[in-house]
Amino acid sequence: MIKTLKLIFVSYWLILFVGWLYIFTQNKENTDASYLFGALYALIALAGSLLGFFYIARGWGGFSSSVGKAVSFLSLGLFGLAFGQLVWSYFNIVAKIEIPYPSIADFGYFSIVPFYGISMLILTKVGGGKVTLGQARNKLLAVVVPALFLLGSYLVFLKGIEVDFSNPIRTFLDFGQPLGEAIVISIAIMTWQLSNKLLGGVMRSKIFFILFALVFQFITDFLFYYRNARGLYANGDVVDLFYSISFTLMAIALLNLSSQSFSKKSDEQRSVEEQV
Amino acid sequence: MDENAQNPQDAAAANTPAVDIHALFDQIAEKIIEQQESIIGPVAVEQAKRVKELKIDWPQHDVDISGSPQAAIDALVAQYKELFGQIAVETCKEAVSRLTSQLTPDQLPSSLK
Repeated sequence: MIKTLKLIFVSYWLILFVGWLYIFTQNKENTDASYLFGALYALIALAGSLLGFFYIARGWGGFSSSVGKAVSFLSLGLFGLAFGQLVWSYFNIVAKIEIPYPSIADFGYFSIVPFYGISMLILTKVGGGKVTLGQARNKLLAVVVPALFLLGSYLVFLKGIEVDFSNPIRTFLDFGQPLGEAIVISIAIMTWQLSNKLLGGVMRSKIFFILFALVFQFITDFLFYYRNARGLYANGDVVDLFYSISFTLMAIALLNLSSQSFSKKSDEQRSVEEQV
Repeated sequence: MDENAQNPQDAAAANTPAVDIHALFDQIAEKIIEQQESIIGPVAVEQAKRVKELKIDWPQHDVDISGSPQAAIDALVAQYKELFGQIAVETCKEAVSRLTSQLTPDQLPSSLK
C-alpha cells in the first residue's frame, strides 16, 4: 500500500510538472493557470500531512512515543504548508490578489518553524545526538552552525529591511521567518552531524531522507524570500516548482516512515533466513 | 582461635540476599522493551515478540525468558539494532545499567558489554 501511495504522489507531481512546463514556456506566470498550479500542488502537502498524522504516526503510537511525536509534528508542519498554500491560492483566484503578503497564509507557512523544529529536536535525541553532543567538537558545532546560518540569513535577507512598528505582523514575518528557518535548518544539520556516527539500521536512510526533504524545503523558502524581496517572484515561477518538489519529498519522507512497511520487510527477511 | 568464627568474606556473602538470576533477566528484558516503547511505541513490543525465547504478556508487563537468558537478551537487542543501529544498543545498555550491575561479567550478555 505504501508503495502504491508513493507512486500516486510521484505520478501526480509528474502531471503537475507538465503543467508547470506549459506555464513556464508560455510565460503564463501570474495567470489563472499558475494560480491553479499553486492550488493543485498544495493538495500534495494536504494528503501527505493527513496520511502522516492519522496513519503513519499512529503506527508508532502517536504522541506516546518519540518517533510517533516526530512524525506527528512533521505532519502538522506539512499541514501548515498546505493551509498556507491553499489560502494563498484563495487570495489569487477568488480575491484576485497576486502576492498576498502578509496574510493569514503566513501563519501556515510560519508554522513549520515550531513544528519542524520540535520534530528535529526529537529526531536528534532518537538518533543519539544526546550522546555525541557530549564531545567537545560537537559542542562547538552546536554553537557555530546556528550562528553561521543566522548571520547568513541576516546578511542575505534582512540587511536593509527596516523595523516598521506600524505593521508589526509584516515586521515579525520579515524577520521571524528567515531567522526561525535558519535555526531549524541548523538543527537539521546538527541532527545529521550528531547522528551520523551512532544511527544505523533500517531507520538511518529514512531519517536522513527527512533531513534532505527539510533542507530542500528551506532552500525553497530562502529562494522565495530572495526573489520576493527583489520583486522577482511571480506565481508559477521556478519557486513554485521547487515548492511542489518540497511538498512531494516531505510526503514521501513521511510514507517512508511507515512502521508497517518495516514490519513486512522484517518478516520477509526472517522467512528468507529461516529457509537458508 | 575459635573454630566456629566465620571468615569475614563468608559472613558478607551470607548477608547479601541471593540474586534470582532468572527473575533479573526477565526484568532486564522488560526494561529494554519498556525503554524502546518510549522511542518507537508499539513497534517495540512487535519486535520483541519476534524473539523466540521471550514469552510476552505486555498488557501485564510480564516477560518470561525460556532457554538461555543471555541469548534471549542478545536477540532482543539485535532486533532493535536492526532498526536504529548502534544507538539502539547504547540506549538498551543505559536503560538496564542498574540491573546489569548485579550480574557478574560472565553472566552479562555480550550485547550489553
